[in-house]
Amino acid sequence: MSDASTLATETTAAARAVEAVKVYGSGETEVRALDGVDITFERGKFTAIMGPSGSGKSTLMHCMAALDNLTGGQAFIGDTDLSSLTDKELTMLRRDRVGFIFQAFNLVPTLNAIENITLPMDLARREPDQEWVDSVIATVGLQDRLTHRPNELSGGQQQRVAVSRALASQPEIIFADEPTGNLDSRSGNDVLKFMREAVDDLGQTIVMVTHDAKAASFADRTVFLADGLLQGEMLNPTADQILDYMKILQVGQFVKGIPEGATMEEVLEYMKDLDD
Amino acid sequence: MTLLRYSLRSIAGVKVRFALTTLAVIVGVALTVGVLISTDGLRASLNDLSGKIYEKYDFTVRAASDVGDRNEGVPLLPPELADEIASTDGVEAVAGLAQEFNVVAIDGDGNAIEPGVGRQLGFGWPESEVLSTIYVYDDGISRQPVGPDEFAIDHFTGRENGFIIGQRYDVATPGGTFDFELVGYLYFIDPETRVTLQIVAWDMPTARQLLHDGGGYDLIHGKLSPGASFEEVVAAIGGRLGPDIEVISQQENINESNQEFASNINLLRNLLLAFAVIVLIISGFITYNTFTLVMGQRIRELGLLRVLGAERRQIAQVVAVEALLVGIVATILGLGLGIGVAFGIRGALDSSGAHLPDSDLIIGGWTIVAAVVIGIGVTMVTATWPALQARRVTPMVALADDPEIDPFNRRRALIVGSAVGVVGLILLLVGLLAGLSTSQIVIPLGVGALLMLLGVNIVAPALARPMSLILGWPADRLFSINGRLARLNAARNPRRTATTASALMIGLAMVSLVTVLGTSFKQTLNDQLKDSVEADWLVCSGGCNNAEGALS
Repeated sequence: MSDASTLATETTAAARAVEAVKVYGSGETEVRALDGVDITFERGKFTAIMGPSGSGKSTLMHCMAALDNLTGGQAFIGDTDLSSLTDKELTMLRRDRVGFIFQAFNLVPTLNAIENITLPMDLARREPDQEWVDSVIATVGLQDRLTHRPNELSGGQQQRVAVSRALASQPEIIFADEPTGNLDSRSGNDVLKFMREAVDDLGQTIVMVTHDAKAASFADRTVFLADGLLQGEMLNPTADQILDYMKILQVGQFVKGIPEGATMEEVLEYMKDLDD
Repeated sequence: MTLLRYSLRSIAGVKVRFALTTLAVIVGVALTVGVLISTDGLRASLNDLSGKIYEKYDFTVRAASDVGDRNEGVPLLPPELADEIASTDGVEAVAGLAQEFNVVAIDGDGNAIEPGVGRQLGFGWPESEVLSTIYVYDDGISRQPVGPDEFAIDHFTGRENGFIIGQRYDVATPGGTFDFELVGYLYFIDPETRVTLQIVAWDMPTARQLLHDGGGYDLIHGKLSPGASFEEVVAAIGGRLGPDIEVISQQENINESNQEFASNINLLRNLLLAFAVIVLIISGFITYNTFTLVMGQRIRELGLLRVLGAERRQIAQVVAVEALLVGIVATILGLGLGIGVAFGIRGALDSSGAHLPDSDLIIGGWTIVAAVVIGIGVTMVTATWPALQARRVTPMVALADDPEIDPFNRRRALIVGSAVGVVGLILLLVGLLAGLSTSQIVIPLGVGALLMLLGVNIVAPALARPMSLILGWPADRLFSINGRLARLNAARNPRRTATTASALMIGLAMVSLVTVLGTSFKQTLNDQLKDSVEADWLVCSGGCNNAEGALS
């Protein structure tokens, strides 16, 4: 794909957040879901966002994907500052520049597979690039299922439709929210492989929120979020490394006695003692 | 295209609900269309009849319009006047007309002929054949009555009541009840047409004696000689007429007659349209509720469309397109069904005793415009609010656990709903108590009732939770877990519960409406009778129908 190489060679970030703050409620019930997050997602990379429940990872994704507004700070898609856009412009941006994959598949139940796949382009009244759509469908192996409605498809097949929908319009960036959360491990693996291929072969940029270390291990880079703050990141981690790091984050929240500024090795050592 | 397909399949997904919704609109459209078609047809055939009635009369001499009410009786024209007019240049023929209402024939069993919906007319057979509008019925034995001992009766009344030609019957006239020999059946204008009249006729001298105590004519009709003009003849005879007498042309006769028919038709049409309007208001509520409900069920899908890049406009369009489709289907089917309704109305009129001239089925341009405006208008207008709500769906709705666009505000619903209801109530009271005339009363009453219905609709969700908890208590106790689930489920989504309940509410309102209307009509008739009868005794011929109520 010629697009792939050009996308990959561009140096600007596909998306980034600057001092991102999101507050829900007010007064007594105020919750700071994001408490000042700075992060950059590179083009042509597969990034995973991990963190325990309530860490703010989904909120971060929603705000970066133009689904929700930040309370403070800025979010960019390419060079576009989302806070400067009107509702209509945000809609256009979602339609033309962003793709989505959700945990609950989120297909339109009354439309069949191919109609769901081309829906974003239909909404934009844009002719789909048939060759590209065909190749995406062939990659995910949905050729025989195109005229089936979502309720006639398995969970794995539905999520492959959702992946195809996200890829079909060749967006600048795809946001995936727990894409394997509702799938058995085999179907989940398939979906993750497609996403990996989309990045490697097609130069697609993908940001995925997950709490599954196995899923995150497919990513080029995994960032960790807790309490609305960025805690750290790992490049090309294995699932085990991720699990270990997650433990630190979780344990660190309530176990006192870990010395301030402890290295990861020291913490792991400490935890081994705890296990015993 | 996909959005259109989405709309179509969404409708297909809740077929029954949409079918019922469409049916409600169809009934409203069909009633309106049926009323318009049948009254247009009625108007055409009555206008046609006016033309036929006055076709023979080039001019008519009568008591001037400002002398009394024609139905109450105006001064008669002296017979000599007819002779004078007949001798005027340019007049080919004249015929005096003598007629009186409430002339009742009594059948062989001694029963007076019931008037039914029509009027009972006594008539003098015109002495000029070219100016006669009544004819001998062509059955081989009927003939024109001649002399003081013979009469004829219209063939509808005659045959329906077993009048046999050659036998003697009593006829009650203003001059008293006498017996005559029936010598024939007659018809008015056209043997197949019956304009709710029952006609008894004698020859002219007998009729004048019986009906006018030997006096003159009600009208004198005239025919012009070939080549003579109406203006010349009026100028020539004008001088011989007193100040209380006028001459009118054929066209004036037809216009007056058409006007009289038109005002009766309009009365009938407005009465029938009032029913159509009530049905349409109810269909409006039903479509509103359906679209609100369906939109609520699909809110997550609409949110998803927003995520994938649908503009607010496109989301509103989805709802609008669905409303439009319902409207188009309702309009087309309503038009078709309306033709059937028109036949039904016509049949009802015919079975009430009127045999109106057959008329072509007239589907006027306005009828089609009305059907389109009503069918599409009602659905589009009532879908406007749900469509505006749909516009407010955000992408985050697709991801929320329990999505609701507009979190239900109990306080607001109670305040707004009560306010609307109270305004409606005030209007109702104003309408009822302010002593307005019948035509003025319609607006405050109609708007008031509509507002009260709206108010209840708005308040209903606020009451749904406490009501379902209270009313569900016995079910909870009696049916253990099922009862509890039902009770809590009804309370969980008060809006949905209220919407479902309001469909029933409207149904009940409809039933009460019809019952109250029916009872009121009956009561009004009784009251009118009571007012008109001050006697202690009432003697009726052939049964008093509902008149007993007048005395009690």
